Amino acid sequence: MVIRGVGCVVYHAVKQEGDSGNMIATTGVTMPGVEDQLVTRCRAGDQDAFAQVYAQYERQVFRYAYHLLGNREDADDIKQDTFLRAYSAIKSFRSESSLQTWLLKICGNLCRDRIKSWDHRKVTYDSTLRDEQMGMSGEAEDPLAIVQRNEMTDMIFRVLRGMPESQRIIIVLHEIEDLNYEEIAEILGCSRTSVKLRVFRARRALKERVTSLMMPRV
Amino acid sequence: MWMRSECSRLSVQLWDYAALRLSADDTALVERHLLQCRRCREEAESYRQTVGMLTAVRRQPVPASQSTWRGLQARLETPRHHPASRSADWLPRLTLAGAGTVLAAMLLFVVTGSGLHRPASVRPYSTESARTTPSHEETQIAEAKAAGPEPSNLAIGDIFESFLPGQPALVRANVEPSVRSTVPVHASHSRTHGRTNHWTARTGSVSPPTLPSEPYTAQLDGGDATPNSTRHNFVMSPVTAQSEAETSPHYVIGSIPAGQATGASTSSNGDGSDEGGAL
Repeated sequence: MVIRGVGCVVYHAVKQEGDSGNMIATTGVTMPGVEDQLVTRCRAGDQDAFAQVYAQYERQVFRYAYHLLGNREDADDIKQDTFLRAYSAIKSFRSESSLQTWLLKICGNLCRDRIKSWDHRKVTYDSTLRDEQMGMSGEAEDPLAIVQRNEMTDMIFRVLRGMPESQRIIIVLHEIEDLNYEEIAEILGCSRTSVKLRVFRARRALKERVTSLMMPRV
Repeated sequence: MWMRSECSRLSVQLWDYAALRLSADDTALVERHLLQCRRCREEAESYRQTVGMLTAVRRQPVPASQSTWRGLQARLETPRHHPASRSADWLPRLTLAGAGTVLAAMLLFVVTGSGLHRPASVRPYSTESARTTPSHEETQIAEAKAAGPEPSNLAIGDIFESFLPGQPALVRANVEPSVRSTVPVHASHSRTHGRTNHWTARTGSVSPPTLPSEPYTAQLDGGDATPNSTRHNFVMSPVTAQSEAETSPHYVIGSIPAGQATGASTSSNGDGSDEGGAL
C-alpha cells in the first residue's frame, strides 16, 4: 500500500502483484470530507481542484475504458471525454456516490456510445502493444512467464470480445477492476442483489466460453 | 436428488473456491462435495482455469495513457468543446442540414423536372443477370427494404439512404452518365445519447476509376473531422432502370452487414476477420 498526498487529497493506491511500473489496477480512495471539499471547489470552477481529481482517477478511468474498448487510442479519447463531461456536470454531482463510481459511470456510458458508433465493427483488443509492454517492464521478469501471461490475456480478451456488452462490463468491473458489489451497483444504477446475480451469470458465461475455447477441436 | 440440490447450492461458490476466496469451513465443505461429484469437480476445474486467466489479465500492464492534464486543460478552456454543450451545438447543425437538403431538393427539381415524380415502385437495382439470379447486393437490399422504408424519390446526382440503427443501410445513387470520376455521397448517421437521437450529416465521395461493370467495394468516410467519425462500407454496382423512360444508369449502394463481408469487401476497422458475437 502506497500512501500519497496530492494537495489536500490523500488516497491510497492498492498495487497488485506483478506491478512493474506500469499501470496496474489502482483504487483511489479519498477521505470523505476531503472529497466533499474537492467537489465544492470543482463546482466553484477551481481548475486546480479538478486537476487533483484528474490526477487521482485518470489511471483507473483509462484502464476501465481500455478494457472495455480494447485499444489505447479510443481509451485515451474516452478518458479525456469523461473528465470533460465530469467538469461540465460537476454541479449536478450530488455526492450520493463516490467520485470514483461517478466517473466510471460516465466513462462506461461514453464507451457504450463509442461502441455503438462503430456500427458493425466489433471490439478488438490491441495485440500490437505486447512488445511495447514487455519492453516497459522495469523489473526482470521470466520471459516464459510473460509469454504465458500474454497468451492467457489474449485468450480472455478474445472471449470478452465475444460476450454481450452487459456481461463484459460486469467482468471488467468486478474481476479486473476489482470493484465490489456496492460500487458496481452505483455505476450500473441497480441494486446490490441484481449485481450479485449478474456477476454470477457473467462468471458462468465466461467460464463456459473459456472452456469451449480450450476444448480440443475434433 | 440430495446430491443435485447440493450441486446447485455449491455451484455458486465454485468461482470463489477457485479464486481461493472461501473461508476454511466453506472450502472444506466444497472439497468434500467435489470428492463425491465428478461433474462439480470438472466445473471447479473450469472455474480454476478461468480465474487463472483473469489473474493474468489483472497482472498484465495496461499501456500508458498518452493524454495528459495539460491536453485536457486546453480543451476545458475551449467552451465549445464541452460535451455538455453538444446539445446546444446540435440544433443549429440540424437546422443547417435540413435547409441544405431542402435547397438541394429544389435545385434538383429545377434541373431534372421530373426527378421528384418518379414512381416509388421503381426497381433500379435490377440487372439483366440479376433478374434470373439474385446477386449478393440484391439480397442485402431486399433485407434492407424489409427492414426500413424505401426511399421513393431519386434524383440525378443524389444518393438517398434509409436505414434504421442496427439495420443494413440502403443507399441509392442515380448518377448521370457523365459522372465518371467522383460520386458525391451525403448520408446521415444516427447515434443515440440517452433518449435523444443525434443525427450527424456525413459527406464524402466514392471515386470509381471507371463505371464498374461488376460490383465493387468503396469506402465512404465521414467528411467531417469529428472524433466519432464513422466509416461505412458500401457496395456499388451498376443497374439498369426498369422503366423505359429512364435511360441513365442507376447505382445501388448498400452497406455490408456484419458477418456478410466477403471477397473484396473489407470491414471498417480493417480487420474483417473478427470472430465472436456482435455487441
